[in-house]
Amino acid sequence: MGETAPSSAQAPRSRARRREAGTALLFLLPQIFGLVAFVGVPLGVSLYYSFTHWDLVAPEPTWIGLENWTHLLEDERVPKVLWNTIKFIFTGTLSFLLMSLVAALLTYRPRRGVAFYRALLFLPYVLSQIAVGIVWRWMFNTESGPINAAIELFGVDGPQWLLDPATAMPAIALVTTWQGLGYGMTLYIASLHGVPEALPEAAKIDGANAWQRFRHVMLPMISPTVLFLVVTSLIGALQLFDPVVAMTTSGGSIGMAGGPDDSTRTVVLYMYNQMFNYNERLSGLGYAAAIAWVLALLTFVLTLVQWAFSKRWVFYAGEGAAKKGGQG
Amino acid sequence: MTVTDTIKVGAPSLAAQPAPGFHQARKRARTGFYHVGMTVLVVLYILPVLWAASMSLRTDAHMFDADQLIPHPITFEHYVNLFTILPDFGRYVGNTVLIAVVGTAGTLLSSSLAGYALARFTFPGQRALLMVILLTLMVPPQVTLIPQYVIFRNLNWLDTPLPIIVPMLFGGALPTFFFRQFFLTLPRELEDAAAIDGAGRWRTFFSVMAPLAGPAYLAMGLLTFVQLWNSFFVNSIYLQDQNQWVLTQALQSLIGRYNSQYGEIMAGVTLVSLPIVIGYVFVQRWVVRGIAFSGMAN
Amino acid sequence: MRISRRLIPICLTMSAITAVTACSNTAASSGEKSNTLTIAVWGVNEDIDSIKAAAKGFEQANPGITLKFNRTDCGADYAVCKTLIAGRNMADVLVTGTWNFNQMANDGVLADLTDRMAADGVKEEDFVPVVIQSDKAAKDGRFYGLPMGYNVQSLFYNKEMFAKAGLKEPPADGDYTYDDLREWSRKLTLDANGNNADSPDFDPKNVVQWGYYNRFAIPSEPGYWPVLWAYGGGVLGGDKRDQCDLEKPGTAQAMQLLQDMMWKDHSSVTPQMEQETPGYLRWIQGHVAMQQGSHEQVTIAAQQNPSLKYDMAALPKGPEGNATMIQVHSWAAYAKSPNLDNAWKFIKYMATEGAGKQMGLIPAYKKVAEGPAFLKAPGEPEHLKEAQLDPAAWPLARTNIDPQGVLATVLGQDGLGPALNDIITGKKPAAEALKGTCAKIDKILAS
Repeated sequence: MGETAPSSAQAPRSRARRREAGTALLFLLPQIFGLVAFVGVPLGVSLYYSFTHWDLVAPEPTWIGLENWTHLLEDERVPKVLWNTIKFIFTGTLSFLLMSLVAALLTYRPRRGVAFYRALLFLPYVLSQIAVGIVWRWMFNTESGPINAAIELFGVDGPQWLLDPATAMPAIALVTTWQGLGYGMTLYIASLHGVPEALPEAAKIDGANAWQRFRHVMLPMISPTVLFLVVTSLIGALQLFDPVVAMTTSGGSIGMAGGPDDSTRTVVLYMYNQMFNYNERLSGLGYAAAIAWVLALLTFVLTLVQWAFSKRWVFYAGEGAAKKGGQG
Repeated sequence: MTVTDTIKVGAPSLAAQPAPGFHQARKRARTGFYHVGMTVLVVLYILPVLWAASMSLRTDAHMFDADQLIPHPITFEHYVNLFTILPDFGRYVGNTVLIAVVGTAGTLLSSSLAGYALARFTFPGQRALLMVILLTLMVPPQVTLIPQYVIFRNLNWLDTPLPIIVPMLFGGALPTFFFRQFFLTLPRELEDAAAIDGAGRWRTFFSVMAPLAGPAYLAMGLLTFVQLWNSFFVNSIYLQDQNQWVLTQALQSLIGRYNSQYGEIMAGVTLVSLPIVIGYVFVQRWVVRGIAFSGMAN
Repeated sequence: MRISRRLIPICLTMSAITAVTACSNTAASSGEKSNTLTIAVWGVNEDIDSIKAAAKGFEQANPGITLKFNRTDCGADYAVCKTLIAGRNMADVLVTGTWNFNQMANDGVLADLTDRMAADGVKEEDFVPVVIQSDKAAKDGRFYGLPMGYNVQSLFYNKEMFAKAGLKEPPADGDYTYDDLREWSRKLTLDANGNNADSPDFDPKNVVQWGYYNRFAIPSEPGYWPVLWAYGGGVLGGDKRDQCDLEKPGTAQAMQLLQDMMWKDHSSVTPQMEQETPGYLRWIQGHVAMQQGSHEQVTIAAQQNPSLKYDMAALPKGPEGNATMIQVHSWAAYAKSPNLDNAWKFIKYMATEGAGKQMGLIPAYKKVAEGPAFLKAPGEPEHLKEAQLDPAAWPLARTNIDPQGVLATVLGQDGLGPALNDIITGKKPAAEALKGTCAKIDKILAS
């Protein structure tokens, strides 16, 4: 990982390398400072907490060593909430990645009126979370909700959505995709605009049809953005919290969200319960921190795997050597 | 001319000159299909949003009626009521604008610098640094909440927007990662050319690379702005003094344990979302025009 | 590289400063004594206004004390308080609710007020008995708060609907049964053709007026507890709320009644309907004949449908008698506050002289509660006293305290949640769904 200065470098070359590293450091200084001060320190402290027990009210945390970690291994709720989260990934994240790409492809070419289409597709992303909860709970209702009304036009009874354990998580996935589309679409469009028109034009002249142009020219050119979205949306999906709370808490406290029948309780929601709501022996910030770090490690491993795979399909135009497709 | 110059060089041009006759007609039919299809799709897509706006114009008695999109009777009482219940609405707008604008500007600057360094420089530990930056995204924020709160309390920044703005001035992990990906797609020839011309790294960045990253800045800026505009949880922790409230907190105060004022909530939501959407339309039209223009200039 | 030479020292200094301040532990308590009293308040804007209005009297009598109101969910939501406490920024005074009062007292968050009460002559007898009881911590029976006010579950009914159906209005003192209620509900449920639920031509798919709404339809609200108690059941029973009552026959009977009203009689609002339009709104808009609710319904009706002709009655009798649920908001002080003397002055004022319509609740301070200012206020329903004040003296008038601090888990997905969901959606009969729940609850109580 990374490069080291060659031991037998000529003096000017290694000085240039050091100058490069120094300049890089300066470019990175704000980011690093911010990371260390505002993120790194709290992260480190949270890792420390995972070895303690702290109900947040006591003046100091109490050191308990590995107890949180061993308890985690035998806590039967952890696999359940992990599974709920994974269910979401296969529905919500997948559809988000695909649908926002479709939306981008439909609207990236400059045409009359396309600005309005983009703006309206972006609108749900702008809508306040408060309204999203209220409106979609109404959309999903089985009495006069438009979704079930549309389904019933086909002669089938619409599902119970948020009231049925089998369909509650897909319902939440639907809402998050609906909201997130504006976000993914905006990034895909920025990336599509970075593709010089000459490339697909040349392919067209060579006789490639629309699908081939997309598959072998556009897709590799935007693959860095695709990687970005895959990695970050997976990280976000593993931490799913706000939409579940918005759609499954009705007036009661967050301690009761995650229904029906425990089907939408995600890892972070369970972590929040342990941190604030529950009163079990080990409940508190310590156990929550242990859960958080296990999740982080899982995410990290997943990301590394994706990163390794990315060498096969991601093409960076600015790096010179081309992999699949591309013309450089 | 300067506006279009800042748009990426080699941006896609509009479709080539239509061939005469049959092809022209077919093209027009396809455009027609496109617009009709898109309109239907888009209207269906934003139906929930239209319904939210509709709620803001309904009387309480008809708030949840399913048989009407355009309410009858129509009433503007909720909009008026909103300002009676929240007389300091203007102040909340100001607070929100401050956080959103300063936070976005700061993030764009710091993250693009960092992303560029990660994309273009070669130095020991480069890959590792990227992984560390990504790692910070992987720990759920709820557990870092308390330590961060202690830091800001020790700095005496509670009840000010500083805990929200200052971390953003130093860049965020997500925008940095995005800029890194983006800069990697730009051809190296441009920087080599600038280096030959004698420009140092800084000048290269500010006069050559950053302008090329126009679409990235625009996209990331927009998304960061919206996230800050709509953020609630962090604000509710640090801004307990009602004078410091942002718009999301003001809207949340309309939701009660027993009763929520749906009309006023939706009126507030509409007012809060509208400026961004309008801004987005204008920005997009500028982008579209810029790209088309520079395309034709090719 | 001139830039770098200047930047690096600056950045290093900034890092150092931040590190130092981040690690510096203000070992002392969260603040020094001052003349500013920080008060954490929650609720909607009218609630806050009502508190500030009541506090004006205190400010005038105590010009040396500055009041700073912080709007935060701390008090309603213990989680937010915990964040403030851990961050050493907890307010001096807070408003707790019966649902988390004991947890806070158990954890040592609230200051013991017993001695101060004795010193200042504030007596238990000055307050409504069942309400002031809830301000005694279950662990030691000492006072950790003083009541701001309380609300009581009563029956709200639509007078016009009763008249049209030819029914006599429910006796205001609660001298009727749940079976009566069920019967009336059926008669008051009408389909589009005017047939009520008793009629053979009744079309359950075409109902335009429903007879009854109970917050049983929203599983996270404990509004159905009075029904359980009236039948001799409950969720957690005993003085310390440490016994599982879910498998008592009364619990199943009561839940079965509510389930049948929704799914057999089709006279009660279902969870699906609740999602479309909240049940209480349906009552306000005049589509539901009866609902179980508390005093905030009066305010909502006045705001949204002033022409609604309604009245209140006490909740009905079950086999064990009349039962109702009381929810109390209390003023309390943070145990580690440096300003406890001022905090106590404020709490004492707000609970006694300043008692009134704070947060729309019924004042518990007898001198104010029994005065005409509250009872005969314009806009109050006729039978306010019988429906809301008298029931506080019932033996089965219970508060929703949570001495074991387990209610979140018990009602959540690890406890009663799944079974409750099966019952309210009509999937399983109550007795069957409740089987085995006590095993889960006992496990929760033990941990």
